[in-house]
Amino acid sequence: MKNILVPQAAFAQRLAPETRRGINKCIQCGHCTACCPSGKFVPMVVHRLLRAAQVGFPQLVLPQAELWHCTTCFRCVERCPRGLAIPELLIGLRNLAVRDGYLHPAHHKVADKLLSTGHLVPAGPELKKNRQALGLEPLPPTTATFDKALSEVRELCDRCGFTQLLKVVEQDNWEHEESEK
Amino acid sequence: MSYGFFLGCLIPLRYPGIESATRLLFERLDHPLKDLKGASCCPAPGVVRSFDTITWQALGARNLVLAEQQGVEMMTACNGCYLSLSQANQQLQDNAQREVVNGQLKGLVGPYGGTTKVRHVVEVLHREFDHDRLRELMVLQNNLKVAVHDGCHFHGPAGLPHEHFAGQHSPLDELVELTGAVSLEYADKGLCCGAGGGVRAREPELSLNFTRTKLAAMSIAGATCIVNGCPFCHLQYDRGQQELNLSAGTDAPLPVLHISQFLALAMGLPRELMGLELHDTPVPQELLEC
Repeated sequence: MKNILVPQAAFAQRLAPETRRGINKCIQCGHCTACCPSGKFVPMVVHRLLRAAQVGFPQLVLPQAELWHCTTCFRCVERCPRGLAIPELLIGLRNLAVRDGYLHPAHHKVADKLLSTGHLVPAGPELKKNRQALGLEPLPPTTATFDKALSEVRELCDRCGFTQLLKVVEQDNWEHEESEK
Repeated sequence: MSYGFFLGCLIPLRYPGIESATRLLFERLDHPLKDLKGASCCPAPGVVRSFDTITWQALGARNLVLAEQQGVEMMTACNGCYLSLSQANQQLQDNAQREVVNGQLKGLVGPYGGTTKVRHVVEVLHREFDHDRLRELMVLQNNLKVAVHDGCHFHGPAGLPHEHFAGQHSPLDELVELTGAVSLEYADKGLCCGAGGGVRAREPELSLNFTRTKLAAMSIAGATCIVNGCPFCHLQYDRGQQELNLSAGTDAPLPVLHISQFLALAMGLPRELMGLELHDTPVPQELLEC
């Protein structure tokens, strides 16, 4: 019996209200899965993820690599007979996954970049020279130039709990590769 | 109307040629762009929003404040920024939501009053400028066969269907054709480039599967180059071709141009300021040569 999954009714409580409402409206018609371009290349069964969230099987949703196969192309949004913004529902589920420590190292790096620079893209070694050759300032007039702006961004990340979230996830390490496969 | 140029990340830090092309283009149109000093990442809709929606909204609000305080419309040349800022802005039209976010911004910037308008360079050029006047500015009429890639996140905020319907041109198609070029129909034209949603960072092979499919369809249709309205799609095609060539061996490379670069070249603005040599997939000298 111990291998049988038991639905967790409490899972619904963890979802943001708009995510929960949307997921509850899904009628499992499968249009999203049928038209999903990612689904042509990798196993990506959108309506199954939504169903697992609906019934309350977090372990079939939060650790799954599948949850991160959506490119947010919105093709399914045009097909959904319930008019659901499906990628946004998946984003709501991704938020929970991250809180549970399922943040891929590649994504962790991206998030760290935001905290350290206010941008997601590093300034490469040739950047200043390249920009000047194009008649631009050596660095853009953004957090890359203004320290005060960068400290505002960091302070906001603190206030929203993002800095702390990344620290906690860090301690978790990435031990989820196996559960994904 | 004055436009504040919201730069985002990829444009100023990876493809500065798109920044200079956009600035020069708007100077030519007598609408020099204002800076939004101290802006940050939008933040990105696929990654940052997937990690934590609350942080995403607060940082977005901070950027929206910068435009509001200057009394300018916020113009981006990136679909990701366009989606993020439009959606954050839409959510912040709700007084209760705005109050929460203004609490987070307290003592830093703001408060945000909810009045900023978020625009995309494609939609601004298409809606705000007379097309005959634009056509007259094209000193270099060409007959290039262009594979246009709108990018998924243009359509939603612009209030257009996400997918192309057969025979229906998008604003980007029309801008490209103002130069005399032909925007080709090709298979699955509305398909995603593969980069979005955090997929490029986490699942590069999956993301390149999209790109390979698109490139093949563009080549079959006889494209000479790709024109896009988003630096992330731009990166996916530009660097992606190199990444695909390493492992698979595809057809002749297709040069990739952002619409700002494409129009600036067609207007005869200085080619050396377009940053074309910073692309991974070479842009031949004879393409849109003066």
